[in-house]
Amino acid sequence: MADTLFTPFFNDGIPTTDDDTPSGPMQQYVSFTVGGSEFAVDILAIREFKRWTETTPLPNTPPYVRGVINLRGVVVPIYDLRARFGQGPTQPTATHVIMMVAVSERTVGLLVDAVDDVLTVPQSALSAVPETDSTASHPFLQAVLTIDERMIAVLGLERLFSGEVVPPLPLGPSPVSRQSP
Amino acid sequence: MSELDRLRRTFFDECEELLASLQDSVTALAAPDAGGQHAAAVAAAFRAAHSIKGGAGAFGSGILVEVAHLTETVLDAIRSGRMAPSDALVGTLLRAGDALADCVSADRDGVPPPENPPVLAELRRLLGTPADSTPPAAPANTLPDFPVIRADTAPVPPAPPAAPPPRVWTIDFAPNAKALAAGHQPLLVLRALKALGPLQTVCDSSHIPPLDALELTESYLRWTLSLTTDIAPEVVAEPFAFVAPLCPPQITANDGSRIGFDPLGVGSLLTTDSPAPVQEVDPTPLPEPVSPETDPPLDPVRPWAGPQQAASSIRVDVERIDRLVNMVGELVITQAMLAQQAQGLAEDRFPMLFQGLEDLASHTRELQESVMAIRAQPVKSAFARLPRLVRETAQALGKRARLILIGEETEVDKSVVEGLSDPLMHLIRNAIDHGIEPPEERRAAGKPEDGTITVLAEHRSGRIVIQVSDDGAGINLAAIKRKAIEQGLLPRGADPSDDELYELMFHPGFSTVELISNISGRGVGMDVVRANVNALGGRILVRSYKGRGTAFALTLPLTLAVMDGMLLQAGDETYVLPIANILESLQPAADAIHHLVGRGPVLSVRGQYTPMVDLARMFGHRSDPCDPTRALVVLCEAEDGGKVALVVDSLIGQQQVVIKSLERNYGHCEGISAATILGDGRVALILDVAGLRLLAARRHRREGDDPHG
Repeated sequence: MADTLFTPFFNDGIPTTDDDTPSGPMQQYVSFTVGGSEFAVDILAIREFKRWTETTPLPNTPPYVRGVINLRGVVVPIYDLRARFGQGPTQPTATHVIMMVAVSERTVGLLVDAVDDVLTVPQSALSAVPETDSTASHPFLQAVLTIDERMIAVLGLERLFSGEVVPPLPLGPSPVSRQSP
Repeated sequence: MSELDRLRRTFFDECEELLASLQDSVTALAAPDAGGQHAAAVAAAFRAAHSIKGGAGAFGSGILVEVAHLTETVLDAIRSGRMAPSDALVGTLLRAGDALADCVSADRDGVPPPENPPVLAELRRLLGTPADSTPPAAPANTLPDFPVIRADTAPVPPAPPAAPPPRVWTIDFAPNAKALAAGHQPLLVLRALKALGPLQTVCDSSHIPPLDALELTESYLRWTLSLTTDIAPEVVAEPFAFVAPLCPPQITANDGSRIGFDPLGVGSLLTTDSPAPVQEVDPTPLPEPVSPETDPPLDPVRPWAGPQQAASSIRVDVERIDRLVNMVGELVITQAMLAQQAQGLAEDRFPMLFQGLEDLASHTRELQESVMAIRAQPVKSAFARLPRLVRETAQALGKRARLILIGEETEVDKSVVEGLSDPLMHLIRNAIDHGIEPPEERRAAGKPEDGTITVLAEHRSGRIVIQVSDDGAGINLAAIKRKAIEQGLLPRGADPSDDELYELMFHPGFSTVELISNISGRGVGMDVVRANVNALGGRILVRSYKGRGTAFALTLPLTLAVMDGMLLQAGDETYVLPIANILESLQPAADAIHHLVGRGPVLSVRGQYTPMVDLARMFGHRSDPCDPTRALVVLCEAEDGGKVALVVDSLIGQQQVVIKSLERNYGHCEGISAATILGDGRVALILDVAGLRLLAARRHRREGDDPHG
């Protein structure tokens, strides 16, 4: 599996100061780059990382739906975050990474330029999204992380997949979940 | 899992079956009694209620025991002729079955059972019991019952309502060498008997030979016992349960009763002269004793009860079968991969390899079919709740309806059966609510007052078709059209076809209360029905005749796991077309292609016109139209009978494909029913012919008269 899976370099987290943190419990985020900007998602949502592989396109879907791949026998959709943020489609190369994340009982892949780091931060490093922020990615942002003068936008995965991206599940007791693959 | 947990699970598994059997039997009571089915139905219902009560003492709650007990008592009263099965009584019994099901599921999931379900009062009223009557002493009553019931051979009479006068039982017990060799100890039997009441023991030791002739393994003693007790005969027989198959004791009572033993060691009363104080002798015919069908092969209660007949069926955890299905799916993919790899090789250089691959392909197919056969179930279980639903819905709405079920034994994959339940119930409810007219209206229309709802299941060309039809008023298409125009779903002055109007019924949020009240149309939750059916890979077709009724046909795949597909190329992509949809493939002549304004190009094949769809273009893989006379056209028929001519670049070949859900992680994609994984590990999408047809129709309308569609 060495060619399909790899573990990004995890350091012990930033910042890891010796003195105790009176500012609340520590939380971990994974940071990554999309179109030159740095983003982060809650580490608990991440299932695995995968090198970019060609997808099978789904017909008549928005440009940010790159298609589906076979993840060990399960069909998983891949979303192009750059396209989702309105910056045009990614031209993926072998160095691009797919982050497999769990969003409300589904597994989906997010195509990003690179995965950077694991950040261990206190609650106090998080702040609300500035009102003036007018970037296209704004509606998907949950909060802003400030680390050593750097500002990292924390993505709210549910917001990313609310409404149009992931169509709502069929109503009623869903027979889909009982379906054999 | 501990032994107790296992027993507990078996009990709840069995409860499901028992509840179904109870309901079936009670429902049968509602029909007129022809040929004495009533007696058999009451007996079956009684056995079911009794068995649930038996296990409930050990694993269930007090409420469950009480409801089961009262149900059993009512059934017993019917059996003995003290109550007559009326409509009201059947209704109460059905509700009691419901309450039992609620209690069982609550107990199984470890949540508190419903407290004092209303049906308890109903049952008590029927029996004339005061509300505070003590429920049966569960443990004392059920412990001796339990093992007897589990073998399901001799139903035990209910707990005696009053203590019968004590009897004196004379027991002649002669353990033989076989019994001793099997590890039975006569002393334990005697002790157990002593616990039942005053016991006089006379030991006959006259057969003991002189010491030098004594065989260590022989048994020379025999006992004559005299037991005075008012306990039921089965309980007296209990201590002999295990030893009886090897050396049955002679047990007689001073009133002439005698206890005999069947091969499993279960004691039952054979004859009695006494005026039966309890219903010892079941007046109704019982099923064959010890039939392998009813004897659970993994019976944890008495696995040691002597040699048993080989089981003809086994109970297997669904999870294990699912694992098997998954593995077979992977095997199918691996086999496709090997076949693909071998394509580049020269067949004459590796004859054995190609022979082996061919064998592998045929064995894989056979294995896959066998596994699917394991998962196949009759649709009966999805139909089980319907008779009751019809009765109750009709009653609630003041209508009269009867249900005819046809083809209950038709088999289909378990997951399809499970997924069918909800849509079926919805359709039936709709049929009674909106289809069947009130009795007076029916009379005025010259129809019988009882409306008829028919549910039919049958296999048709590799799929299962379930048809729900009623003989009601039919769908008022004019009203649908009016409403659709009001709601802006149709442009004013539109001239939709009947099919398009039926289609509107499935539009989410289309119907309103007002609509339903003034037309006999449907619509409440029809979008949900369709979503459920689509999720099973199925489709709904509607036909309605004004004044004569409406029919909904659901066509569903037999299995959700594997199917035969044709791989084809459209642009750079590979798609899978279900073989079942393909009629023929052809390369049309230029004069066979016509252009209809607003409908796109159509293909004329032997006088029939079929809309053409350029797959690569419609899916956005290519922007310029391709010349159908140079490409290939595959004529397909959807499950609903609609036809479409797909223009593709080439056909790759036929292959078994494993169906993978696209909905699980993504959702519905129009024109696509599911996905599969090809031999090279890539995902290929499976085409949904009916969806493609709709997609194309919509697009042509939008594009107006673009001649290339």
